[in-house]
Amino acid sequence: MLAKQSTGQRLKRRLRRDVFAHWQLLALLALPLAWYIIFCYIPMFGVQLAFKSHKVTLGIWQSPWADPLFKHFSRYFSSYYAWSTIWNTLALNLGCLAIGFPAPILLALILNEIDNVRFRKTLQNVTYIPYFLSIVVVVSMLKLFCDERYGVINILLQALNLQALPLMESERYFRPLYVLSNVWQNMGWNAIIYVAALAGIDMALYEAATIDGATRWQKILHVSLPCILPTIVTMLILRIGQLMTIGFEKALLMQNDMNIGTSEIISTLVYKNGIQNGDYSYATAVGLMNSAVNLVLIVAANTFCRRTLNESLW
Amino acid sequence: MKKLLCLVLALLMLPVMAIGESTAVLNTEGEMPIVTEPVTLSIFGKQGAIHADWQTMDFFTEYQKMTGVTLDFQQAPSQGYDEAKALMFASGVGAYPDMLVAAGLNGSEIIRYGEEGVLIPLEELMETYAPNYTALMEKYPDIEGRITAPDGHIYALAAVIAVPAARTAKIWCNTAWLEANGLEVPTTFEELEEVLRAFKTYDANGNGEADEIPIAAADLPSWLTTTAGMFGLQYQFGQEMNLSDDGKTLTTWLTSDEFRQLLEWTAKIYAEGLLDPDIFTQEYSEFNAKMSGQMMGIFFNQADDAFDSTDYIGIAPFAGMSEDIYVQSGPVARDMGTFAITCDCEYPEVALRWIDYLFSDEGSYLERYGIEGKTWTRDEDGYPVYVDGILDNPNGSGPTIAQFTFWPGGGAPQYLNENNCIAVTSDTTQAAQEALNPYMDYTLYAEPLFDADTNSRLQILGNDIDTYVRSSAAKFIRGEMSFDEWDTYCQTLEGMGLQEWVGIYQERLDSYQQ
Repeated sequence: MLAKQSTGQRLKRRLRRDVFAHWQLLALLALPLAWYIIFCYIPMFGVQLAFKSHKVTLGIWQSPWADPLFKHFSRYFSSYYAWSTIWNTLALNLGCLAIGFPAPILLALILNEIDNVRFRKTLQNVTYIPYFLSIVVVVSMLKLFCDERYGVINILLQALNLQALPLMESERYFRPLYVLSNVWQNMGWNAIIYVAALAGIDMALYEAATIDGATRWQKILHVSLPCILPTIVTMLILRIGQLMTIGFEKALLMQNDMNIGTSEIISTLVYKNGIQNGDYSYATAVGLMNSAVNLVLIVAANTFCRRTLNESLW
Repeated sequence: MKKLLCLVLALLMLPVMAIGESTAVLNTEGEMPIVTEPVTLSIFGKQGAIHADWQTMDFFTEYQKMTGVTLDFQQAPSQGYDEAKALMFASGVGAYPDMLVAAGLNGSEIIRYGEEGVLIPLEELMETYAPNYTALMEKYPDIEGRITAPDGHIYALAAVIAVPAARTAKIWCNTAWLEANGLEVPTTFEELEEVLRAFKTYDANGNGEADEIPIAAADLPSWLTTTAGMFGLQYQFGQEMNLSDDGKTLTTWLTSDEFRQLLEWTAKIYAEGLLDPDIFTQEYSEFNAKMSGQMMGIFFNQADDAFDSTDYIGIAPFAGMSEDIYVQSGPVARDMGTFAITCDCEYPEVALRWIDYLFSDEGSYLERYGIEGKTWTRDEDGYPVYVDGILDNPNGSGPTIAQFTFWPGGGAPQYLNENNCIAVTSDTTQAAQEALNPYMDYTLYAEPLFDADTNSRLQILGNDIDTYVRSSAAKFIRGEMSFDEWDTYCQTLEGMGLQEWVGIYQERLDSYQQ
């Protein structure tokens, strides 16, 4: 009894001392922590809506439970769009990952190979400026460039005696357009971290390779890439953490009756049912389902990274 | 996004505030101002694309002075309006605006939010505080059936459109283009195609580019609603359904050969480049610009208020596809849910009187014509006439009037009769209506209100069917889905509960006949 008390007291004393000693760190932590609590943890109470029949006058807590409890989920899975929206979400995100992730690495490697400083800086600036455009502007540009009659792309195609393509108005072109414009917008910005990593490589390694008679290509393959591999892996893992969550605004803005077959992703469906139709319970249920799929994907990706690359989120 | 949604929902937990009953501020009936001491009412609604800011409109400034009711404007722009409306309803008791004016409430919202207590029942208050509207309900018995919910309450008032010409979409045809090409007004689909082909190559504005549009509509739904009648298709209860000849059975035509024929024909003229490809994507404001820019050969619009109609006439539906031709027409209570009072309104009787005056003759003049002496004067019989420069404004009368009052664009609580309708039923529009009259002689049921359970079921079915039909129709027309896939389309629709959906309306029809 006595011993226990003294350990308790000792612990308390140590805690007090630690808090006092590291108060700056704790102060720094306070804001992000508050952000997570306010924007991530408190809204979690709203998830109960997925199992309730929401009434606006009663609010979240007082609204009655749905009868049956999984009503909104069964409505989703029995709808004709359930599997197509899940697949659309997956396909779009995987496409963004498969093409959007390697692109900045390639760009960084290319930038690294350019000797003319002025040209390199210009290229780097030109490629990362699109990052600062808002999505609304990017989608308006897409609409202008891809217009079936007046868009620059179709005018070029017609000049080459090819048939004009309904780029914005077709299910076929939605994903490529989405992914490629994403690459265009984010490639330069995402390349910055790789450019920095490449700049940090010891020049001696390149010199040694040159003495050994390595060609430029071999130097990229055997010096540059291995040296930035840890950065790449870290970035990949961070990127995987965002699977299934990207793309809402852009998909919604690009959506129309013709491309809805591929552009209707889970988050746009949630938006339409929740924010537009006021059907909050159903929207929450579908959103929750999205989170569940996301969780499965992250766990799978994490396991994959741990097994093959020996690094992982947890 | 979800986080935002949850935050919004968290706000719903605000405590329920008591509603105070106070009639002390009311002035004697029929007298202005409405109140004896200043009252402020907040007002939410949809500010149309062509509207000036509501706060600066002559109508609102004048009406505030007249009634003594100060308005707290919380209206939302038409772009993104659905979101604004849903968020308003989600804002929770204690945060609702007092009045929803021209807020575009649809049947299911009226029922849902009426049942949940957001919108207060008006029928009892109306007996005392809405003499004008009650009189109109007696004059036009159809109104009551349309605005009364199955639980017997009236949660929202509809606009009263007592002029038939204001309830149909006219087919406008550019006669100058016809003359230039030496063609007659088309009466059949064959002639129509010939005319459209001529329009396609005709350079009306002489800029050397083929930017003239042979035929167009504001969007795909309005294209389908107007052309469907020419293929013998009706919109019973406002839905894609035909009534059998004995008037007892409803069938949906979404899977019918006639609808397929309509889509096939549309696909054909689309492939030839005769139909405006923008109908799938454009905003209403873009269509408006095409109307006022005289860029279209043939198009559909209710009136000639948005364009200079010197070169246009309204023509009859085209024959040749079906023996029976129908023109879809809205009911007297055309726009549902144009006015409602929320549970947060402290002075429901003031709000009701505020709206009721607009359903009197004098009130309707103020609402539709603006300030007397400024934008209108009276003729020798005492009826209102716009001053010069409004109806003949080159921008179109609608956008001009929308600078000083809020009814253009539709959806406003208003009383339209033969004395105050000149802006939407000019002589040209009346003539256009006469071309449609022969095709309006059939039983047409208006969209009813259902009880809450049926309503929520209907909302799910209707949403799914609507979305699927719209995107499929677009694909059929654009050739992205071939008509070989028609059977798949029909099966998908059946699988979505098409028959259950029809059944709900059939039940309502049966109840009418008992």
